Amino acid sequence: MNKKFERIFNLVVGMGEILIECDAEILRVIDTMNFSAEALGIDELDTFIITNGIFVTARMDGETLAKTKQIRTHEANLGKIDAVNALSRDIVAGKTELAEAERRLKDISQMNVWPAALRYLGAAIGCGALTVIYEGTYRDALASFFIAMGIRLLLSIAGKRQINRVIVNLFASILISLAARTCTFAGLADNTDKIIIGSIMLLVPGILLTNGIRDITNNDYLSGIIRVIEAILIASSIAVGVGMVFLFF
Amino acid sequence: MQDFLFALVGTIGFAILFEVRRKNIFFCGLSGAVGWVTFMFLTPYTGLFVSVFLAAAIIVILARLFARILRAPAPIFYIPGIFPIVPGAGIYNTAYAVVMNDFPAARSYGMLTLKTSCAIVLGIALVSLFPYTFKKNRRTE
Repeated sequence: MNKKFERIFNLVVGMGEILIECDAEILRVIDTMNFSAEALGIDELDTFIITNGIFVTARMDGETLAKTKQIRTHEANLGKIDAVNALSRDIVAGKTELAEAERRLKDISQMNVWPAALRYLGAAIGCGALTVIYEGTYRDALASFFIAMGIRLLLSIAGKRQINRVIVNLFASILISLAARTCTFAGLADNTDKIIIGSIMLLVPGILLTNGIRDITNNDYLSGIIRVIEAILIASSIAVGVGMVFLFF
Repeated sequence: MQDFLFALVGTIGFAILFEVRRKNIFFCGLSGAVGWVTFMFLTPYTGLFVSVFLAAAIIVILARLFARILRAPAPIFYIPGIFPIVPGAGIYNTAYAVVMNDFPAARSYGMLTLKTSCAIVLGIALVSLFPYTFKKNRRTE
């Protein structure tokens, strides 16, 4: 078995894998893998990619390699998509050799653009700022700020345990509503609804919906439909979660 | 406008959450802020659907533009950018109305949520349908 072929193959599959885990569009995954493989010397690469899995076969110098992989965890990470994209561009331009590409890929898989604490802050600031533009008061924004941090923690823990996103969002939206209610009752903030609206922005499936649509316009109907339906399910679970709290209080 | 600044900061906050690299962060925020301001500005004149549609379209157009200039994939710019116009308020209000048995309001908010989502979908789809304008080998998106 040609060792170099195996290495190139694993590199290309690795790149695809990272992109899928980061919720990239399917076309991007396919293109990245194909262009990189071609640039590195693989004669033929065939892929079938959906959001949950990847099937790849490749041929080089008469030998064939195949890989099937399931991708069960997803965490949208735009920095990694950016990095893999840059890597693939460098490979195609001939600026990066195999060994260095492997090293870079390994770095990418472990990379953290921002420290975790700052990401929590980012989520909190995002929700707080949106609360303001949705006509909440500054105190509402502050409430959203802290609630968002807590919810982000919850999402992070649940993500590691691969708990179904719909259930997690249901639970999270219940918590958000309860927390918002508590804040207004305690006189710490003014509008329950604005706080909730601002905080649920963290849960609302914007990426899924937009990438789902992009997949559909790229003729990747299967993945597109998967994503859009998941987005609808998640949005419904948020509505149900919020509604449940108001039913009982 | 104060809204512009808050939309900018908010979008940047989400961009950080999604681990966007430092050099792209500001333009991320820019696309979100411009989108939001477009929406706010147009709604009184054109109604909700058209304003959301145009806002979404502008966000994706800007995203593709920034993608080319900054040599980064477009989703980096439009994913955080779309956050301000995603109908979180619609979802909440619909749920509240349903639970309060206020079905006329539920229908009206439900339709609002649906219309906003469809407008976003169409805005993105329409802009995304424009073919790549450069050779297949040079993907800068």
